[in-house]
Amino acid sequence: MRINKELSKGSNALMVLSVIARQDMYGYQIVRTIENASEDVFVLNEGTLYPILHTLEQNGLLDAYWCEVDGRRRKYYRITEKGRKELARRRAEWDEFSGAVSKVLGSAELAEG
Amino acid sequence: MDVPEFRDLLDYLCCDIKSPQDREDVRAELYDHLLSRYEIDVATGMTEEEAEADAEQALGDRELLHKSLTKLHRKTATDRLRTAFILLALSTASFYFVLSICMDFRTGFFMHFWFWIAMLVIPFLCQLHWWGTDVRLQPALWLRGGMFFIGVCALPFIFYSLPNAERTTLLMTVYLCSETLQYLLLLLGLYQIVRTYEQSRPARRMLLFSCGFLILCGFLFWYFFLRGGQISAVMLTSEEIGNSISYSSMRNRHYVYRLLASYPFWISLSFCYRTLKWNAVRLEFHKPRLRLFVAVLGVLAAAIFVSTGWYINRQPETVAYTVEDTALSQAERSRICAVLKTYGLPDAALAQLPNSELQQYASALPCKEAVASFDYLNPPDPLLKNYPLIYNDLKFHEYAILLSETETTFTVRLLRHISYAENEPHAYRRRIKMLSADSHFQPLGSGALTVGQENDPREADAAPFLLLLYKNGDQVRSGRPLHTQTGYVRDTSLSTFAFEYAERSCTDVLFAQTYAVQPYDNNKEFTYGLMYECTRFTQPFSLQFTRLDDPNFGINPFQTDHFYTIGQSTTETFGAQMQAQENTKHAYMPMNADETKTADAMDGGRTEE
Repeated sequence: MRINKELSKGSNALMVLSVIARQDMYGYQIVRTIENASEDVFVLNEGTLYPILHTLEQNGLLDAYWCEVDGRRRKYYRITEKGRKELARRRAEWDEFSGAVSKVLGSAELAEG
Repeated sequence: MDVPEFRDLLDYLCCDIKSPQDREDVRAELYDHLLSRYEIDVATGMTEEEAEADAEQALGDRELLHKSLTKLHRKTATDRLRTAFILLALSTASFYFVLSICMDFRTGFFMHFWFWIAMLVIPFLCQLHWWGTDVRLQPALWLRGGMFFIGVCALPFIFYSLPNAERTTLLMTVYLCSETLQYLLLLLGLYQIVRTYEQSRPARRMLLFSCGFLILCGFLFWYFFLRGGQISAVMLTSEEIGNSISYSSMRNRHYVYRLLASYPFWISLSFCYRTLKWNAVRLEFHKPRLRLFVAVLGVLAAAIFVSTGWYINRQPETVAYTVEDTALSQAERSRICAVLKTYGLPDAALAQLPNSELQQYASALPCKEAVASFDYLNPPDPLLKNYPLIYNDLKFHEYAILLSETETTFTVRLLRHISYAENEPHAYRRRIKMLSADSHFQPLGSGALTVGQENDPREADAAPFLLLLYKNGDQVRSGRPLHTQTGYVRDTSLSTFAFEYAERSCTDVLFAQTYAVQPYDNNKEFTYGLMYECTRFTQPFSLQFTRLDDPNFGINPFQTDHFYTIGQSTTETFGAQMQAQENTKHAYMPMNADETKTADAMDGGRTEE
């Protein structure tokens, strides 16, 4: 099932930060990791991914470095200390948000039942 | 397997990224992404064509990606350029502050001092993220900071260990060299940035402009500097313009409105121009609300700008003028005129003086008596030894009329009469004359006279008098001063006014003020008679002043040590005046034959002594 684009918009940066926090990754690898982890629910295309990555990099949440792979340059991203703090903050925010949404939905179901 | 290059796609996505380095990096990153997907697609059984198409399709909305990347990478470039421009503008301004030191060391230094502080703080500000300073500008910034510390440490030693002239020369040289070096470093930094952002045409223009400005500044500076002191005339001129504007602003608020409106007007115009033309670097002007705000501001400012300009430039008003403005008997008028004639006032000037002004001289002592009471052995010499005089090809007469004297103080009324010849060759268009006549005849010491202070019982005696006469053929009419500083305080008497005269007219200006003068003081200087011609007065900051005479454009020291030297000082040209100075060192006041003999005898007597 594909998720509505608007619904996932706010959580894209959180997901990107989250997967990079586990290990350094390059762009395509990030896309595949998120796809696999979400069982193909979230499919990030480049038009979404790279603006997010570059914004996070400019804000100092990510750091980047280049490697030579198969004769071509590959840009890897790693999370910074500032990025980890921001990730923790966003994760807490997300937990609170999703918990609240679940509670609302749960109470609605009870009312219907 | 032929590896696809995705050239067209990548060209489109990255074409508007300003920095070549950023563009190359983004391109490489996207290429790696596309190729990774392509390779996996091929490995999973797709044909090369299908894999290539799939990789491109997976990209999503190309236009959106293009816009996002452009916006993200434009900001960085803009920030860096903005910093460079600010620094460059500050450095350009610093030349002015350096020049200001020439004129008045104390004022100039303090003006320069805050600028130093600002430039010292800037390197620290540059570390902040939002400032976005490019590292290529750092050498210039640190040089500025270093110069600040060196200057502060070394200045006292330099200042107190050298004679005045050498001190000035050394300071000027040091200042100029450091400023030039710092400016060059900034230009170098900017050049490197421009090379980085190859599409930033405005930066290139700015660079060219700055180089030209630097060369011009250097040339002008050394031109005037090598001429020895002449530069002070330039600075004095600019100061006088500033003073005149400020004085005028006090009297005519339309100048203030116009001045205030001019800034947003030009800024908004600049924004509009940049939006239209500067596609490469649009700074922060892409927000619709900001754009609307600037547009409204610009329209309002333009309205004020135009309306105040119209008001200022409206046709001059004339006021009724009559000699008999107050009651004065003919006998009394004749008596006073006779007294004034002993000072050399011509009949024409006397005939123009209204009764109210003549009454100011009711107690004046005849010139002959004043000369007789003058102590040549111990001259008080109240009207100066150092007598910088600037004048033009107009006729400038000044009469110091002695109203009263005590052992320590003279009370004189300085009456100035300025006239233009009928055949003045440069009256082909509307002109405005601005006269600045700063006098520093201030009472000395706390117990001295306080003429000119508010609530002084003798305030009426000090009342400034100003009369502008517009002659057109046989018709005489009075005119209005465009703006005057008629309020007088202790330190600034009636000092500046501007007036205009119609085409091919002869204008007479008469103005007078009473001063209290105490014996000579070495520290007091008397400067007066700065006459400018200004062809445009609609733009306070772009006045075009042209000195009417004196090709050297400098201050011409005019030494005198005689009180009554100013009994009549008719200056038609500088050369003529200097010649007059050479010919008559002392006592060249206008007299009739008998008085001339008396004066000659006095001079002779003094010579013998």
